[in-house]
Amino acid sequence: MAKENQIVSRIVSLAVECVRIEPPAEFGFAWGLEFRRQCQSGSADCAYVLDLRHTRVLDTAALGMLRQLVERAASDPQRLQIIHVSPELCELLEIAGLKPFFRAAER
Amino acid sequence: MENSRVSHLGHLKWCCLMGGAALIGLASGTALGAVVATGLAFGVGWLAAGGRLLRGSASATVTEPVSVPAAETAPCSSPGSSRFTLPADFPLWSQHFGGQFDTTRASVTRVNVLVQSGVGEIGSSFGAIHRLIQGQQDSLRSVLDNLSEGGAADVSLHTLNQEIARTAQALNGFARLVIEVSKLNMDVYFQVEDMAAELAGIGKFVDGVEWVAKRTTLLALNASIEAANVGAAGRGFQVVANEIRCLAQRSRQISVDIRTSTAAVQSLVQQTQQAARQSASQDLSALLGSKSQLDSVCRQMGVLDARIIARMDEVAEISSAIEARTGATVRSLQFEDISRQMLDHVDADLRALSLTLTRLGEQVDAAGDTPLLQLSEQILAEERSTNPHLPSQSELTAGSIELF
Repeated sequence: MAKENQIVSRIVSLAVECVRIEPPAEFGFAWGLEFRRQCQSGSADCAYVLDLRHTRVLDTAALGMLRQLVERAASDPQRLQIIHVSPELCELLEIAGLKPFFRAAER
Repeated sequence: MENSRVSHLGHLKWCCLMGGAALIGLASGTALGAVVATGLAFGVGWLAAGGRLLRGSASATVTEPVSVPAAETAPCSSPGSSRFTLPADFPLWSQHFGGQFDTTRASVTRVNVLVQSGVGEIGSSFGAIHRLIQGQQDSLRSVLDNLSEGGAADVSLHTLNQEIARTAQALNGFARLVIEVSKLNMDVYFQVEDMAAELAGIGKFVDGVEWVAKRTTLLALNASIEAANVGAAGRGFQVVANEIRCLAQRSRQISVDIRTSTAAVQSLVQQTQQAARQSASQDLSALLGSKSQLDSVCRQMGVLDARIIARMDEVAEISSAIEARTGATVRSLQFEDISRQMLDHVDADLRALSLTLTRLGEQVDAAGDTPLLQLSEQILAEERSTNPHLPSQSELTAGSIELF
């Protein structure tokens, strides 16, 4: 799986600058500033890889931040890759209406 | 005498034939067959035996076999070949067999009544069953309509499923609304955070202003000291130094005010950040659980709906099959009418034979040279002409029933 992630990151990085975001186990409001910092670390047209390998909990603040990320990436699934997402979180993203904006590679 | 014996022997033989025919008819399983076979054998026997009876004149009962010349016992097959005379006991003989005909006709009538009554009862029962099955089918159809479309009650599994699906959609919409609000709250939080950073910058500026004010005050103090040292010449300079000190104090006071206001704004920023945190950070697990439960209920309702409709379809098919079978049985019972008319026809035939026998005794003397067999056939034809047609239908198959 790690090799696959590397391949994905490499493919994305070949096209544009790629920012890898790796939230903690409880991705919520408390991690908001760090999330914004990582998001703003890339250029305006960079791609993002959201690695949820550690994440077990996503609250609405996290989903709101992901919504911001979608807007930042101009709702372009080619610029948004989500990896290591569990089925539960995948369902949550589905309910939140965020799943279509991410190219997902399930855990 | 010998002829008389022969005729009585012939009579006995045909009676045996008649009995055999009746047994064959009974063996074939129908009372109607027995009656018809008996009647036909009786008629044929009468005709054949009658030809011989006309040859003799004695009326004695024969109890033992007697040898008969071939010429005397030859059947009377060619009408008009000879002139016959009736035996003296013909009226008794005719009365006896007339009574037999009447007995047979009474049996036919009883069979007819029994068949008619039994079939009528069966037909009535099947008709009731048919109506009950139709009622059952109507009820099932109503249940199916209610299940699939709701019918008049406007409540069905289908509509319930739709309602649940709508609720799930509303829940999804609510979840997305909550997330959108969270996103706006995060926007506010980040902006307030930026504002807090700017406030921190203002604090540094105020620090600078305070430093300047402190240095200015110190400078004004030094200027006052120098002015005092100069004496009267430095009095003007003393005034300027005092004004500078006042400005420095004013500047320091403004810095304090700015710092106080900034602290107040920072407090408000912190409160706003706290509110944004509380508003943005909600646990969606309850919502997710509710959504999962709704999805599960939706799936179970769908399965239940499919099962019930499948079972109802099976019951409806069974009811349709029963209705079809009942209809076929009721149609089959309509052939009772044919059987009854056949029995009526047999009765009429027997009556015709009985009347022929009677009229034969009355008309034989007036017939002149007409051969007896020809006369009997003529009378029989006249009697039968009143009932010319016998239904030809012999199988209880579906289709058109021959009317007559």
